[in-house]
Amino acid sequence: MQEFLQHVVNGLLTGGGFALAALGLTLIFGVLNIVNFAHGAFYALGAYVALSFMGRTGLGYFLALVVSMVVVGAFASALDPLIFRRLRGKGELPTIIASMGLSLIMVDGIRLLWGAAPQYLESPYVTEVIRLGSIIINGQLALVFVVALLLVGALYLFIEKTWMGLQIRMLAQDEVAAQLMGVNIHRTAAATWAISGALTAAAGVLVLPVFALNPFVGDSAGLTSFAVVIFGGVGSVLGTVLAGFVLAIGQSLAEGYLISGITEIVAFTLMILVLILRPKGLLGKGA
Amino acid sequence: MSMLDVAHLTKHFGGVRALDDVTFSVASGEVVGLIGPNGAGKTTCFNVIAGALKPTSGTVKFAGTDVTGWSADRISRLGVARTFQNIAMFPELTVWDNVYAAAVTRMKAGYLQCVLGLPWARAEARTLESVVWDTLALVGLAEEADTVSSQLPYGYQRRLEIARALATRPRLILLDEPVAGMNASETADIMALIRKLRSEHTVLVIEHDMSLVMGVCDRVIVLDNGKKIADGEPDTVQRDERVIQAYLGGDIDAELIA
Amino acid sequence: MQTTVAQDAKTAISERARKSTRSSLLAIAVLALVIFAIPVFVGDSPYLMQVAVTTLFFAALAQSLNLVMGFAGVVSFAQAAFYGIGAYTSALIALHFGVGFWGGFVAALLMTFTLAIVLGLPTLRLGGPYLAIATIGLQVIIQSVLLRWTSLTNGPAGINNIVAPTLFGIQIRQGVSYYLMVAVWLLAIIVLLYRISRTRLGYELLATREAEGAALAIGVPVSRLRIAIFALSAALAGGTGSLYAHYIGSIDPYVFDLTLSATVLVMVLLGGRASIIGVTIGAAILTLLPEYLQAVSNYRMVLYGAGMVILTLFFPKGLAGLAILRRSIGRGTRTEPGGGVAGVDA
Repeated sequence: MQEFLQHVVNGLLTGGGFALAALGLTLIFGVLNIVNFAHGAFYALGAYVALSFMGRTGLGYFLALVVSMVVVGAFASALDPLIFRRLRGKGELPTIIASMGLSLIMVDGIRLLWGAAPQYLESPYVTEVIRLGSIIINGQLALVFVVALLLVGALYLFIEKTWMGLQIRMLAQDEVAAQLMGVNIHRTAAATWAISGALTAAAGVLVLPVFALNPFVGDSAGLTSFAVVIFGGVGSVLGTVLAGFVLAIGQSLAEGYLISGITEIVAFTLMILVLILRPKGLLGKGA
Repeated sequence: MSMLDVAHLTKHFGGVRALDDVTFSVASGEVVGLIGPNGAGKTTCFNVIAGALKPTSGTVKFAGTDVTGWSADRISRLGVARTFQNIAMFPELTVWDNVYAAAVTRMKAGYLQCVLGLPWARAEARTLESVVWDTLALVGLAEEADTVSSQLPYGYQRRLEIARALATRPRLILLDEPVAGMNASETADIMALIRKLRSEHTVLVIEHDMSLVMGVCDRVIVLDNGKKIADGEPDTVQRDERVIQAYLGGDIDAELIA
Repeated sequence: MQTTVAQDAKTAISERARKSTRSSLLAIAVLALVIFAIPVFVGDSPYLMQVAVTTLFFAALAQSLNLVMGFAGVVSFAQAAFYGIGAYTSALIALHFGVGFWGGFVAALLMTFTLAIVLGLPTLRLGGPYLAIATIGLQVIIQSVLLRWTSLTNGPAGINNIVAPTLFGIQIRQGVSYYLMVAVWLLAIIVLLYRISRTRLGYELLATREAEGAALAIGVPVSRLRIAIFALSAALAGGTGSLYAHYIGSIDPYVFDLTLSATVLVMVLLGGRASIIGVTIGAAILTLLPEYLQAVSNYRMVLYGAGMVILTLFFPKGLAGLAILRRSIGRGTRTEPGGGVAGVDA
């Protein structure tokens, strides 16, 4: 029983990371209809930027987190005018290919700038451990959980309460109607990319201290995010969060009781089943 | 013989009743007009008859065969052809290819036989090419055969739709607003075309343009809010109280109240 | 009764069609010549022969994807998965049932065909980006299965000592003889695609790709056709996989990954959807380019990625869209058999 609880708790904590990592993707997919294959690269980039910041300035982890979000967010927002704006309305294949190319550029760019050797992002909580009875909670994962929830909350408020958030919601509903109602598509798209980049970078900075960094570390995170987004319902913030937790708990249990490495198979089979049986996912479209 | 029998056709979309207990028949060789204010359910009716939508209840019979719930391609192969209100061409293909693609679906030779280049398959393909040219000539698009269809002017696109429908050698043709957006002379051309068709086909036309309806149709069926409110000769229907009311409440067409 | 203008159009199209057929056949003949001539020049160098055979494998994969993506409009990221299934099926069947390459080859064809139908039935109904994502899912799942189902596939260690094919009692090993075998396979695929593009099937597939609703309205059995073509495309990839397995002698699951699928997909895009010659050239370029870019090999991925972005932004129609190649592209109309479908030939 205790083992079961441990698995569930682990899953719950990792779920925060899954959810945060996938949120950026659901925004891009839901609002801009772009299937972003470079998503994993932003995740990795976030961690590397934080690494450099801490290395160069000697300043702390949390400051690095903020800086990373800003830098990657800014970078992401530049991508719309450079690439994706020109592909609007041309169907999904061009954006898929363009984002794949972008992913290659980013990942190999990271390799060229930072090297391929494993590096380590230092966080004050990595070695911390909290004990609740006989359940062990990894400090860093707890941090991920907490910060993830905070960021999700912040995102929710932003989307619901601000003018830009409203524009984003309108764009997600119907591009033509949004334009007719005065929404500045270009600016809203850039803002969406910025938010997506920032959130994904944050996820990278928060989760990756637990592992070693290498340029390809974002690949599997990117793929898993797809499964999370589809499962939760494209465009739905709440759905993605929920799905992140469900999948993380599922993965934790599967790894614990079945063969390890089965995660991918399970996650993607689930994703395909969702696509076939309930394309709307858990909570459907409507951020 | 009755070419089309629609009985108690009903279609709900969530709470909206697009079609409500609609019943009518079209006899072989007739040209029947389907009119009504916007939103009356005319295109929905076509979609159900052609198999693009499944009815909530009711039946559709084509030449005696019950085709209710059949898929669109199956119904098409039985001898029903349709055009689309919003024009659905094959944009990257030329005019010629558009029509040929339709003609080819009726080949007796199967895919494999054609790929293998068997003599009778080649011969059939050659025959089809004449059919395509004849069809293009009939709708007046022969000169444009080499043009990529997405670059055609609007009026020609509508004609292409009709050509493509004809290339499948149908017995029943469903035309959805064939002259929408056309001027008087273009409309007259299409009317002449429809008159040419009647000898070998049965036609059901959705239209708002009353000159076409009055000029070409043997009979007119009127839908309003999903219900059939009139069914008879054009002159009679034109003077029907309920029809006038329906239009006064919705679109007003001056000619109708002539 | 036709007007003079119509008569002119008819003649023009007829002429264009004849030229188009001639140029297509010529292009294919030239391609065949080139392919068979290569061993003459590089036959002595095992390394170059290997590069050449690899190019053939990629070209075959690209054409198999071209069939389902260029003609039917189905974006599939699962080609590497079917390639892998073909390779494994062939290796395992040859091994366990002692039927050698030929038995394995047939088994690979059947296995991938059937599997594609089973997987395609539920997934091919999906539209747009969701279909692409679903195929990614299939690719990842299949590769994972190959990796983890150790009892069947021997997991990460892969399968070794795969028997080489024998023809009329002679073993066909790596080198010129195997090259010729693969060349025959590739040309068979090219001829198949060419014939499809010229006939009923090609037209119906294009209709499906261009406007599904209209295709249904003219009687094209869209779902059945899509699944059939998906299965055929998978079988071609599987057959290629079988040839690969018995060529290379040992296989492991790591080869058949999403990156491979994506590479094949870019080959099709580079060549131009549905353009048979274009896709072959595209495959050749993308296989050979890394070899020639050894000098900048450190920047290979970045350049590749940049290339992909530039491709989508500025060359959406690929090589086939370039003005130079348009000369021989008859717009596809014909007044005699063989004119083919728009945009098919380069």
